[in-house]
Amino acid sequence: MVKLTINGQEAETGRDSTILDAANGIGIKIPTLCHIKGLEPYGGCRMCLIEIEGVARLQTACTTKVNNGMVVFTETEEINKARKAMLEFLLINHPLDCPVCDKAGECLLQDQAARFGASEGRFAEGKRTHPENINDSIIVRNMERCILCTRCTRMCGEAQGAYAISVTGRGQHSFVEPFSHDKYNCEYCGNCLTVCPVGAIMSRLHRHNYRPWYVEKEIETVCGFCGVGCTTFIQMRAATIIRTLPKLGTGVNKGLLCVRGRFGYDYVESEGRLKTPMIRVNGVLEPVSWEKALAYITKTLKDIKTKHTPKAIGAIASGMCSNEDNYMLQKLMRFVIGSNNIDSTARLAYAPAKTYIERIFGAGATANVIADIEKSDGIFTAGGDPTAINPVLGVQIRSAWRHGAKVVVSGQPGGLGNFINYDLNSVPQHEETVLNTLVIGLAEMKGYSGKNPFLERKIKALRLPCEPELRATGVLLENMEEAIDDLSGLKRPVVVIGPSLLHAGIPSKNLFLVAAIAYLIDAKIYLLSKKPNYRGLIDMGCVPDTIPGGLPVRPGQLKLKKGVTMTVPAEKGMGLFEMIDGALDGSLKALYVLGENPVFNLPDRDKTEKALSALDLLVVQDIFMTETTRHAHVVLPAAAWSEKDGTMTNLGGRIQFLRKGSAVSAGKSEWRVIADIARTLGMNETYADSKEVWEEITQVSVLHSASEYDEIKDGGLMWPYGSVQFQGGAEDFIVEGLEILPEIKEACAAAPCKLLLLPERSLFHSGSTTRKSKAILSVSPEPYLSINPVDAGKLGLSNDDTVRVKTAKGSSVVTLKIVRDCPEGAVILSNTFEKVSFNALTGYTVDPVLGCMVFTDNEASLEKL
Amino acid sequence: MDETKELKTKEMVLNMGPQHPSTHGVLRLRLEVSGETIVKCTPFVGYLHRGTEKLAEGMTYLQSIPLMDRLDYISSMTNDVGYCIAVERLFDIDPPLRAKYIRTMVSEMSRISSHLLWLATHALDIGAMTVFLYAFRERERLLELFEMLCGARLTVTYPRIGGVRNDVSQEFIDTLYQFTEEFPSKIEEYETLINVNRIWLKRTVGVGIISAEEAINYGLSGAALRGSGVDYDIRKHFPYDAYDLVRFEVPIGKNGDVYDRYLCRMEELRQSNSIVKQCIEALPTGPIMSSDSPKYTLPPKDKVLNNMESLIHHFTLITKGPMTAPQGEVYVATEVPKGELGFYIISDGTGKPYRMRIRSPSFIHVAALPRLCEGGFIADVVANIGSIDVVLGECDR
Repeated sequence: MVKLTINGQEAETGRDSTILDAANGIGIKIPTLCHIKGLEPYGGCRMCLIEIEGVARLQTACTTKVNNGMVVFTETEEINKARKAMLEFLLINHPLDCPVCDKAGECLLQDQAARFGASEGRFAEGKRTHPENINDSIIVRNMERCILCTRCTRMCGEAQGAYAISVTGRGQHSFVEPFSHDKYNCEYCGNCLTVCPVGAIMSRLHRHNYRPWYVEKEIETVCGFCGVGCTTFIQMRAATIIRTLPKLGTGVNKGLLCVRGRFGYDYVESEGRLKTPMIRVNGVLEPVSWEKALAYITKTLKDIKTKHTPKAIGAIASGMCSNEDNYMLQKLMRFVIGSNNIDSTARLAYAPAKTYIERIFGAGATANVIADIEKSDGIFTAGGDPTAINPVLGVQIRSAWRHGAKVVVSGQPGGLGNFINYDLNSVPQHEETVLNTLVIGLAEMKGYSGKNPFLERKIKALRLPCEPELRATGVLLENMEEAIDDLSGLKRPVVVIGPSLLHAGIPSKNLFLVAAIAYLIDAKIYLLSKKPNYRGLIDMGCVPDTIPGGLPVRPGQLKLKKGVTMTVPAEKGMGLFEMIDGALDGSLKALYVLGENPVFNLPDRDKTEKALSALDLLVVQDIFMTETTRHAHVVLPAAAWSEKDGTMTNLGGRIQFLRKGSAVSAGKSEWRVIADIARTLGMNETYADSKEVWEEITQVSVLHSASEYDEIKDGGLMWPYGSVQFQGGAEDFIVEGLEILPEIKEACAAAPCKLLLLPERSLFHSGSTTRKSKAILSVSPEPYLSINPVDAGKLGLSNDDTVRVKTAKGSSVVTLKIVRDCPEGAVILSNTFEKVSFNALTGYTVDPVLGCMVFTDNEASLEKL
Repeated sequence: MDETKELKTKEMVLNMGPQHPSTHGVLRLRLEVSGETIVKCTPFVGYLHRGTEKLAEGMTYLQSIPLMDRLDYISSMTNDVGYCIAVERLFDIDPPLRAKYIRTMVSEMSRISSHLLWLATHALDIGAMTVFLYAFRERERLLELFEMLCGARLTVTYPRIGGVRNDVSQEFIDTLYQFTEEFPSKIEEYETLINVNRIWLKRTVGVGIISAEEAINYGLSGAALRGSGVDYDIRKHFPYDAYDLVRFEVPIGKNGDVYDRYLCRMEELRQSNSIVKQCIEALPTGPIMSSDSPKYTLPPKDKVLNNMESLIHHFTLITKGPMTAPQGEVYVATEVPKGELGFYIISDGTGKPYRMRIRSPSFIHVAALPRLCEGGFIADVVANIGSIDVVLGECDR
């Protein structure tokens, strides 16, 4: 610790901190413009000048480190004079825009000029001019206003790792410009506009729409786009969201947001939001009252229950909905109707991966604090680009790399492309060989600790790939050796697992191999989650084989409240794919779909559509009309993310509050509707608010039983939520094809005979929400097919060609984009838009071990039109 | 048999207001009467409560000026001046001399206008219709002058913290001077109508008497206090603006009845007219806005349109209030037509007052109504209300 005196006050602080930190620590405010917590000190604005006894000149507080016995003054006449002069310089070229500038009112420059500046300028010369750039659809730049604090460029480079903008020009002609000139060609995270202290970089979404003091409510909530669960503020005016902001410096995201979280919120107010319940009459959905719709649902459910037993009823839970919504659906199915048929699209990858990893390592193996990624010294990722699926998590990997961490990516690096030292990008379908080599190499380097005999036995059974097999992967052997070297020396390693790992080859083997790497280097495991509450819905028991809290389904009584018990049904429940099959073969008659779009989100669309149209009752509760509602008998409107209270569990197991910004446009949030149905079917409990639902969850779920509601407030409720029962041990597990390695196919010399069709993991889109957001659509408006330049050359295709992509399941016409990052031998198709989608062109099989899906029929041929 | 013994009499309760032409707004009096005599009078206030004090806590010091217009809306100028002086004392701002003279001048115009309205309605309440027409004739000329000055007739929002909004025009000065020349003869006209009018005397002399001591104890101020013979006028005893630079006398009554309060106000009309005239004659040249406290007072408009620093200061002063406001509290009282209007402001260092309390004369005068009315006749209630000159906008705030 270092002791120093600031303005006569004693301050004590760490050796590495700056005078600015020390002053803030004891409540002395030093004005700054260029400094922002989390970015490297810059010392450019000279607003934080301070006087140090014994030092001849004024020093910048943000860059000067503390020293023992230092005597610092922050408010002397000389300092005030210097600040005044600095502000006068800054304002020489600043345009007289306050009356038309959106920033005015929350502008740092304005505040500090009013506080410390001169009351009148002395410069009579003209100001520099630079045209406002409004060529970009969501970000507007007005560089006349720029004070060159470089917060934006540092944010873009240091924190976001996008390196999209830079200061260009010299002297008074210095401006911040994107490298792509007019329009941005970046990740559109918008973090540059969060940190801009003036109105130089601003969002166009709410341009000239408001003044900062029009904000009536600022609600701290959790972002509803992906599993990271960024802490977000939504600012409301009446029932309209003005904008979303990150919580600076704290929270899961430390002041960062991604394009979806910052600009995607306008889907909430887009046209086509469902407002009233609808019932299909003579093939047409007609608006009805809530009473009528719920009466119809309950009557039909009762009929089906008596006629076909509860087994014929199933439900699909939603990763977009809160824990309370999903718990209530689970309660309706399990405790009220008496059926274990409940699942969600987490079944595609997240849920099986979580179950499998927890079986290997024990419960809670995947619940880790996301912020630890940034502090780690080495990260291994496999199965998808974290910077696209969970952008803010991906950004932390970049940040770790910048601080010296080794980043090893198996497969497509995507957004981590600039943050890896060597290429482990294998030919599609040969990833397994690379992983296999890594595991064996690591086992040799690190040896066995003996902690997990099941896992070790299986690692020992692995076969070292032979030379031709290694060559077939397309990855250099020395790269693999280097990766093994890097990974074996890590102290705080992290393994990030994406969904693609489970969708090709043998999922259990892929997952086992990555788990083996995590085991050998003793890493923290993170599972990427496309939807915000996949983890929560699994914890809420929205899977066929576990009850709320994660205990396996065992028939019997479950305590609900004092004196009230619920019966867990004995019958084995159907999973997502079984329910689809069940609907086809007639064993499933009714399906309640909560906030999900299975027709769009599952491959083999024809099969899903056929299955859903065979049902006697399909209830779809959603905020928009979707591909699924076309088959629904009853459509119920739902509350959007900003319209409900509740809790969400992020991919690291942190429970956070989702808070309501405005009233539900349809009048009721999901759990209330489901509770109404459940009450008609025999449930006795009533709930005043979501807190009461949460309290019931803590009664039912062993996992949540020790949790305190108030702890959720500051994001303090982390796995295992105060409960100790869950430090489960490892179990034995099954791995398919331990000794098999992908067979070597002869490469087609002339033209690729068949290209592998892969789904795009889009940074910009997350399904049916973002495709209704005008802002997001303006930067990513169209579906496209990506192809590697090599393959494109072989096929004689060029950029923007219209091609017909054809698979065994169907064909679509789409625009072609030549993308260097696209792997050879594969094409990547958007999976967001209604007209062309990956899922419509592929089939799937269900993996017998994990229960996840593996893409089939995805060999595509291209035809130029 | 004695006939009177057969008649059963009992006290009855009479509600006067809140909708009553003679309660000067929405004042409600609950009168317990025994025959024509008032046994008990209970005023009920709050029908015009708009939460001005609370509203001011959420507004910057500048934004609150229009709120002050709406206290005593008969005399918005004096409220604004009083408020601005309070803020100026709080932040140690000294307005230029010309602004002080202008503010004194328009305050006295406002006083005349307020007294004219009081005279008109007070006389009308008691039954003298003609005075109403005469008084409104002159009041109209003053309102037109206000309009010429700042565009508004009633809610002027003309004073600013550190000065006034705009300078006076020559046309304004000329018209006003013309008015001050003619006005004394008009006062005589009113006096001819009622000063020795028999009915007027019967209705006012000896009605609603309050002694000097009691008037002080009740907290009366303005003409309501001076009518009882107390020589107290804030303009004289704690002068502000240019009041120490002009000559005027403070008229004092003797008996403390409705008639003496009437006489005081009539004389005040003359004194105010003389102050206006002196201000015009002595009006110095110079700026109308203080320039030595730029962090608190608005910069001139031409600077705002051409100078970045001035624009920023203007913008932040209007939207956020002074950014460097010191902490502290102040109580400043000014003499408004109704009496002593006081502002108690606490600054917590933000651009908005932490608390603002308004000591409004009307509220305190209403509290003295039971004392004036009880024991008197029902018919005298309106005379008493008129003589203490209350406005409910200020009373309820």
